[in-house]
Amino acid sequence: VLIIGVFLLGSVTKEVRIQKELAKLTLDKAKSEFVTIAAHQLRTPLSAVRWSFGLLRTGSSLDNNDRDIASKGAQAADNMMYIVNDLLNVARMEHGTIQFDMADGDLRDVVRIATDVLNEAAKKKSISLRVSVPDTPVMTRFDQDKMVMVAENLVDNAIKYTPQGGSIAVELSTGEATARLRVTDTGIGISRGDSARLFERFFRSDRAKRMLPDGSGLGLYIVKTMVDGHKGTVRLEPAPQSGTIATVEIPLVHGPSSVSGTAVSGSSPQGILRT
Amino acid sequence: MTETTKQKVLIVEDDTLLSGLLGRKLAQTYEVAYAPTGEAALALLANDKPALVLLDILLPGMDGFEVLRHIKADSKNADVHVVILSNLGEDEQVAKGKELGADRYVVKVSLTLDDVVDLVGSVLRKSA
Repeated sequence: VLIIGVFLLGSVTKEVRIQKELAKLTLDKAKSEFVTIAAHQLRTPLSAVRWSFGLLRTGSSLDNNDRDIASKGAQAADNMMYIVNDLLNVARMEHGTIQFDMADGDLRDVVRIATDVLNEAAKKKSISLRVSVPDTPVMTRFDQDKMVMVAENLVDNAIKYTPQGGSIAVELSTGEATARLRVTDTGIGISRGDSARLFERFFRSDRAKRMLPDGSGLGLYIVKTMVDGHKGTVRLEPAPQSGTIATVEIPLVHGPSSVSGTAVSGSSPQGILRT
Repeated sequence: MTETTKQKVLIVEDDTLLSGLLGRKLAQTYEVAYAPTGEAALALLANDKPALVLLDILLPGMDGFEVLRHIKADSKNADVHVVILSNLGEDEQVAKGKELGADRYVVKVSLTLDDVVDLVGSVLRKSA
């Protein structure tokens, strides 16, 4: 009787645990779907705000003060767009709907696209953006949009957290089996204590919050998930003098561990985004 | 003095604020036509072909994918470029747009008006 009792109790406990897990999965899915719908609903009015400020600040009908107000409004709307896009990306990752469309390609294209996009932002802060890529193609297997997102996020972070007049170096190189993208800045840097938490969802260091109060704290989480999807690694470390070095490595196409198309859920990233 | 003819861009967008802002910017370089629904877009295409269609996906009635399917099914539209400009940007939606023959699929909120003008220019230059 005791054995049967223990067996029944064990079964009931297991059943309760399964029910709790199922309830949690359903809640997670509902939460993720809610974020996706909310973010999509925000995008249309946000497009109108961004385009309206854009027209106002470049138009000729405003005086300098009003144009300055329009520029600040545009900047605030841009920040909101980044946050909405980050939320959508995280919801997609956690919903497991991100697909990696892998194809052989030249990683130099990724660096060129990402740095072209951000060149203007660097110029506005008088930051020197130096880009160095090999003369020959760096052939890897990757999803171009996602790797552009990774590179853009890292360079964008470097620009955001580097004071006026600083410098950023973006270097692409190849090792024996991996392609390496390194972004080195002269910015606020990271503390040793924070380095383990930088890829956590919503984590922002005190230094980052002091310099830029607004921010989703999702960019690096997304970077890590995207790099994971390429079977790669990403790390951030303090630069020797000041600033931060971000390094992403992904397998070369003919290396021993090139990867094929895959889907990834970001709910449990192995230690490393894109928009 | 010679007058160059502006290329025509058709904006298919049901949000009148967005189509108005976009049209105002594009009108600096292109002739602009507007259609608030897919059905209106196809009627315009039948009469006066644009060089490029900026196509939203979520439209009242026929959706943007269906409009694209109709455009591509008509051989008279072979030289009409279609750029999907939508706030839906899930991977499967982008893949569907490309599969149906869109030249580009871009997410509206991520672009400034200048970006849209540059994009239109670059798609039209490629075909020149």
